[in-house]
Amino acid sequence: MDAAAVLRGEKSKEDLLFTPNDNIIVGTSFARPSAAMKVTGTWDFGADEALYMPPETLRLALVQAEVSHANIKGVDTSEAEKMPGVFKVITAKDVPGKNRINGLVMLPLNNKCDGWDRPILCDEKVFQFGDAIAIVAADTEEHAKAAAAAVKVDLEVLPAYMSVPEALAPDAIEIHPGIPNEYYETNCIKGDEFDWDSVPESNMVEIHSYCSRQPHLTIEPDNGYAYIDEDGMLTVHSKSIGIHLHMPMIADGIGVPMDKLRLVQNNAGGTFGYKFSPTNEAILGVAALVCQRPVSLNFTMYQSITYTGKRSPGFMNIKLAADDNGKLLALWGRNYIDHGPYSEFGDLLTHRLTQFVGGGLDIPSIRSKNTTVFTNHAWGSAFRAYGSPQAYMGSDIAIDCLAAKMGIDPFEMRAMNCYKEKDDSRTPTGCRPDVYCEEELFDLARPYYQAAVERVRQKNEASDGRIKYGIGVSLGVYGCGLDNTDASECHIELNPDDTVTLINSWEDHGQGADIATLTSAHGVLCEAGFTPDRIRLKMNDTKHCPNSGPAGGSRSTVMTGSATKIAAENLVNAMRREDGTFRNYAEMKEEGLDTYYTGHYAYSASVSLNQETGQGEPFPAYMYTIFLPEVAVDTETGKVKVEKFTSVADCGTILNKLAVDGNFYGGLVQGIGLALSEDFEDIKKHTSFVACGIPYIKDAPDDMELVYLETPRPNGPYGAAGCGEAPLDAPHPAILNAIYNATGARIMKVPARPEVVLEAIKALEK
Amino acid sequence: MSIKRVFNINGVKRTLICNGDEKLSTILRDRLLLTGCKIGCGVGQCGACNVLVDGKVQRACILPISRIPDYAEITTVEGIGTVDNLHPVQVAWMAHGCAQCGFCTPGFIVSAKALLGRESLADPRGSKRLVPKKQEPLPLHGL
Repeated sequence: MDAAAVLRGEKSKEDLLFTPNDNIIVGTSFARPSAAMKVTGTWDFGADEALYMPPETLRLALVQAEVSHANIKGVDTSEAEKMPGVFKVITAKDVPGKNRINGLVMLPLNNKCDGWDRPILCDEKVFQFGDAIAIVAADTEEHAKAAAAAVKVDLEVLPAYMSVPEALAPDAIEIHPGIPNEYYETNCIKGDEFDWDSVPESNMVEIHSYCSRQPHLTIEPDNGYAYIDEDGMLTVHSKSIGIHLHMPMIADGIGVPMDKLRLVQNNAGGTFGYKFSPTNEAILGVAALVCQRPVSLNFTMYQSITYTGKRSPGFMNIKLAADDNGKLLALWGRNYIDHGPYSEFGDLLTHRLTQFVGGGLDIPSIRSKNTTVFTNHAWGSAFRAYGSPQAYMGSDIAIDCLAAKMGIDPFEMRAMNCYKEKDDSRTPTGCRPDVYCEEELFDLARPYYQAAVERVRQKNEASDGRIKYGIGVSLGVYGCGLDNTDASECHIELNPDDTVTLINSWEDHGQGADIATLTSAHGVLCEAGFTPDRIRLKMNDTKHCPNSGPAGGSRSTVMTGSATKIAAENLVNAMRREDGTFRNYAEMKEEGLDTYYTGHYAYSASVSLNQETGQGEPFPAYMYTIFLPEVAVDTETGKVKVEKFTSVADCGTILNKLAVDGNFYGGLVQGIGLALSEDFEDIKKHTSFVACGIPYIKDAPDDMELVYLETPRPNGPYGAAGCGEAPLDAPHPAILNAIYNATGARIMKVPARPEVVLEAIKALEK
Repeated sequence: MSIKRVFNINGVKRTLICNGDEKLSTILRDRLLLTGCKIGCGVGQCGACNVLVDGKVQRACILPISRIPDYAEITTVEGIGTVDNLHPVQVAWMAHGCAQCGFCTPGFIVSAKALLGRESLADPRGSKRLVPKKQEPLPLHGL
């Protein structure tokens, strides 16, 4: 509408863009540095850069498994090798290294894996549909694909275990021989044992729920390229959101020393976390090393959907008890995670259930046991809000059911049980939250909730009864940081032209690492008069940039934002004269002062993790969100429409309003997808955006209201916490709770597609 | 079999010899390096490849060259504005934080430009109707 106003002559282009007053951008709507290139289509992604590579570049295609579980008896490449344009067909025997991805065991207690279970190219077994068996390198992509189709794979097909119950059946064979399918267990043991016989049946609920194998559905397919650089370093460009993390995961498998391996993140067209796992990096590395030529590999969307990691389904079984007033007394849980066939970070993910089942609520006694299971479905990779959508599919639905059973308003039930300073409330891991902001957050949200209740009442009054309207509530809390200890680093250089360059590895999914790096530093650099246009960014290349840790777990703003701010402080302090004025580059040099500085930031839990009980102080900061979706349910078709979505969130100080809003708008819509449509379960059917249930524009409400409380965080830069995962930890239970509010039908699984909703409504009539 | 086509692409006359069943996106990206036309789904579901052909929004990834008439006017995102001379819709996109990862942004810009051209100048209320009724809506999957 602003663009139309400009075209009509009512506004000028300059009116639209925020321009800083007094050189302040923290907390404003300053546009991200990459924005102008993005809106003109000149921001290149990996597949674009692959087109610019030299003529000798080999284009790769994969030979992939078309079954989910098999023994490999032989791979015959002879026909393929004779095909036009083929340079080399690479199989497991050609891989110079160990041919395994290092899954990096994070939590060794009760873990039966060593992390070396995922092949780069399958040698003995196929573990899931799409597993790579061979790589064809040819002069063109067409030739590579044609030759890949000619590779013959001789398989002994084995029974495929596509869910936890199937993999745990008594007659199921071990997917990884020697390791049981049920391979890791983590427990939350908080507070005293609870006597479940001490409360009447009317004060407790037991629920069984299921959180789905949500696909990431980034619009950009997976892609990458690799080459040997001028220093003989094997260089892999990809969408990696953990370039330093992925080095030790792939180096031994490829067969290259760490100091000869270089990873670079390309501009990424969304990842939502799937790139926390290596996907193509080791494949590209092997191909470039074996062929000694530049190589590139573009996945189609079909390959991206069927052969990258997915959200790990959670089978949640939760009991919750309260006293007669509704004050929670105890939670019990027995939960299972289907992590697919590869163990990488399966322990970490499952441990997030230990940390977040019951999150946001003051529950004195918790006993939850969480187990990771190998299956032959898609491997579990990170996905935005990692582990918490499964956790809240359990504990948030449980508190909603308990409120309904006890006749307590669902909003007030949560408000009554939220973390309170006066009660010395503790998180499920037994520590204090970073800030006690939940009471204030509920106070802020209450008028929005009450207005929604009234809107829904009026709509129901005016409805003929076919369409039923409802309001749902949920409370999501999620941590910012890697578990227990975390660190980041940023460098800064004052240039001869009196600009500065910030150097870090803050990988960008698209969430805004550029604007966040710029803002984190500018809040300090502005003291010395630097304007945003005099700050350059050099990011995400392991050869030139320090290890800032992966861009996951909503850690980057807290950790790398802090390191960036500290680097800027170190430079500005060096530039500052005693009289308060600042030296320029020439004056620094004249006085023999350094012009290159480093910022380090580290978090270390004051109470370290007890792996037996899950107790500790794992995160430097948390994000808090109250979700208030309003739904319309068509009781004849089962179709649910979210008509309005309000979120009331506290992510600390907002560093950039556009970036935080963008994360919330997108996250809430992704939550609608999680709740109502998205899934990757049927591997033959769920193979496109449409079939996987991606929300289209009409599935997203025009009316989305984002409300923020900005409680400053002690550990974040300028008081900021992260925000990326806040909108996707618990939007889906809120939508299911809204369907219950509308119809009385309680749905215990996502996605709540129309047939699921209709069945639940029909069950009420019986 | 090769066919000859002459298109006016972003105001520049281009003579192209191509295989008739090649898709417009291949010609734009691989031959002309107009990489603002992005390949997402590759099957016409997502709209990241949207371009204007004679003023109409088309999905370049599924449009065969043989179906485009000679002398068609083709506008890609590169033809709408440049970093130094942005179109108002591009400035508005920046100002409202719409470009996040930026991968589908070109498709949105092209579609929004077509919508604005059709409706807003004639009718100040027109641009409030963001989704044209007769056109299949575009997917929305922000960050």
